Amino acid sequence: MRQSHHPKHSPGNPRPVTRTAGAALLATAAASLGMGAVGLAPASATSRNVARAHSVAKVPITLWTLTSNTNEQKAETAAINDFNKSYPGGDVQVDYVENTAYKTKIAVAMSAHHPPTVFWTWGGRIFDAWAQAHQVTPITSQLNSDPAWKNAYLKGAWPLISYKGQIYGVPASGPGIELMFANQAVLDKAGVRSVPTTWGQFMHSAAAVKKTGAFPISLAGATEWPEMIWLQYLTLRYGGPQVFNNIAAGKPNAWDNPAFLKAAEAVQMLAKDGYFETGYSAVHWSSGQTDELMAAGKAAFQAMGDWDYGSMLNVAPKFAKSPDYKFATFPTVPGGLANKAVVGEPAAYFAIASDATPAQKKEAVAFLKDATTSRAWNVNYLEAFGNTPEDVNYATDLLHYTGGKENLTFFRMAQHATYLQDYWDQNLPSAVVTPMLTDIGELFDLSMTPQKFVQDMDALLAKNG
Amino acid sequence: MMGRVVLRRPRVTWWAVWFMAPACVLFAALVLVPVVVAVWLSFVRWNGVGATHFVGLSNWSQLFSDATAGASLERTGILLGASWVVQEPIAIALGIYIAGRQRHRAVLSAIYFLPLLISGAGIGIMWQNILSPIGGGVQYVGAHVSLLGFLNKDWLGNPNLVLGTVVVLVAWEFIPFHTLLYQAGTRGIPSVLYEAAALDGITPLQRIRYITLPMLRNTIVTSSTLNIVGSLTIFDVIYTLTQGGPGESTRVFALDQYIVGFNEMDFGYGSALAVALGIMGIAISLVIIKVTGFGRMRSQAEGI
Repeated sequence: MRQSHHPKHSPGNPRPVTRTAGAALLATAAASLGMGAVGLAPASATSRNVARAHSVAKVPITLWTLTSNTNEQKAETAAINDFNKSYPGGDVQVDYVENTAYKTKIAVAMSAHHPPTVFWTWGGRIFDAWAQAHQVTPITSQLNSDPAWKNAYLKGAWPLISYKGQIYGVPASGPGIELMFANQAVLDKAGVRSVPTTWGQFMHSAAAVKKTGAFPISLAGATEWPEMIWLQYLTLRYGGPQVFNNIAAGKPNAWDNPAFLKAAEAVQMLAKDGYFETGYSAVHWSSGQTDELMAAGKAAFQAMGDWDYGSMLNVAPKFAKSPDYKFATFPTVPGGLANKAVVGEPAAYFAIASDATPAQKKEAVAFLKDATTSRAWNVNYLEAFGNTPEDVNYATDLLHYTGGKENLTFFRMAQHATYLQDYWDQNLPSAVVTPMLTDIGELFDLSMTPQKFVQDMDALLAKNG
Repeated sequence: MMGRVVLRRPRVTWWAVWFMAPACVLFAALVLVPVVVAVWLSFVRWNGVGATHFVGLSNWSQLFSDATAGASLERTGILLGASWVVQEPIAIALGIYIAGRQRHRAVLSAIYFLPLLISGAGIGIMWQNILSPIGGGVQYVGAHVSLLGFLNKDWLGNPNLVLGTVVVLVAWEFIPFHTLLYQAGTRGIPSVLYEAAALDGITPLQRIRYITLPMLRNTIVTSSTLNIVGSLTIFDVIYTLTQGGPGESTRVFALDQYIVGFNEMDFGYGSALAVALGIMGIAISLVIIKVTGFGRMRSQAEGI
């Protein structure tokens, strides 16, 4: 359904003038919008170490990774320094990019043909477009000739980073899944003994929590994707995987599905009943305020990815380590078609751009292997951040660290899920994702009806089909 | 070959053109080329990856039937009108006040100009935190000081309030700049006018009404033009404050253009919106200049 946006002829074919001019505009626009130096050449590091005899000339490569958490940055910087010391001429220069800006920043850098050598990506639809246009480098042969390397990752991780039989990257982080987090202390006050597992119980608990004066749900509405978690899970529970598969395939009127409408009505009910914190439409996920609310005992539930654990360690370490911080799978619905399915991704990835010299690409491949399978990247990460490892060989190491038991549970849930549905916003064309997120925001602040949402989205789907 | 080397009166020669070259090159590279490319992009379809497809006028015809763009243009109109109404009177009053040379006025103005030194992006992020419903100062004060109870509102989350919040913050950011213009304008008024009026026994209010304000006419036109064109293209403070939300309630035209181009990766239509915005900006400036007679550049100090 994206075809109409794509060149019909071979992407390697060229309209050089066109592309250069477009790139010039993008670079100028990006600079004037203060989006940071898109693809500025990295500072040369040649003057350093010149005196050292027989030293190999440094080959600087740039790395963009999506890391706003300082604990996580420390672990990654250590792994990068190790690589720079061990690889002859190794000079990986890292840029930590903030979550919200990342998607736009990398897309603009790719369009302008000034990408970083190695970059973080969620794979999926957006990535396919780059693979189709030969803007990323396949590493299939390197992986296949090194089975130990290839088998270090979850098998389920490859489809999202593959295009037409070629693999374009490796997992840079472990699986991520979306869950229901809760503060048991708040639930106790409302007489709720454990995190509810069915939607009926959940609504009942939420009502009980509201009576105690706490907010039932902590929601980062300004960021919109945390709202999508509720809508996606409920749609998946009510209607099974097929509902979204039809949408992703661009089938006519795919949004106009009873399961989706039921889900949309359910979330509007939460808003109407005042179950979200006051002012949720202005709360940003990256501010950590939703976690603060939970930790302070002012909110009971939060539907969030397993990365909330790491965020909570950062925002409120004491609460994160207390037995009151609980999680469970998203509630099931009676007669649901996918009550055991999980929303999440088997991995996030590092990929290599095509705009790089052979020496840079060689170093990038070595970096992908060394860094993502290193003890530093996997285990130190766990220690500092509390996250799942991408290298399966480190999974049992989890148990030695704070929150290891929980993270091993996340890891196993992803590994053994009967069905893992990718996030909606990673699996639709960009032209659909942005209006969809905006409309989800309007569903949640009750300024749009589910019927209007379905109308808007189906019209958009038809246009981009 | 000419033998005479020294010229008594230097003529402008061909190589003097080279002195203008750096400025011309920079102007061409940073202004002309992007404008030309944007105009050209507005006739193609390009998602940022791969090649472009010429689509003729389809981006432009889309523009006239696009409800989102229409609504965002309406918001820009509201922002523009409200900004002018709010900012200009305050800036004129402050500008006249701080034009006096007393020390307390200098101290006040030094403090007051602070917002001018903060970048728009910084202002957006700062106010996002101050106005946050969780742990934000403004709502806290509203909830705890009964006299200021009106502050306890959902300033950034309520779709009906948030555009008003933006108007106030934009005013907070830009009033100092316009005040500076009026201060300079007021200080430029020849003192003979006031001295002559003093002989006629004029009151302080009459001084402002009959001398200061008429003499500030050109400054008012300049300030208004900058104000209106600035409101038309304002982006950074709104983008960092709300990203156009909640929903679309602060999605002004410049933001719509950015979201279409850089989030939806529809650079063709995004460029059409950008070019339309540019045309509107130029048209409005021309109308203001024409209507006010500013282009004739007649001095207000004629005959003095």
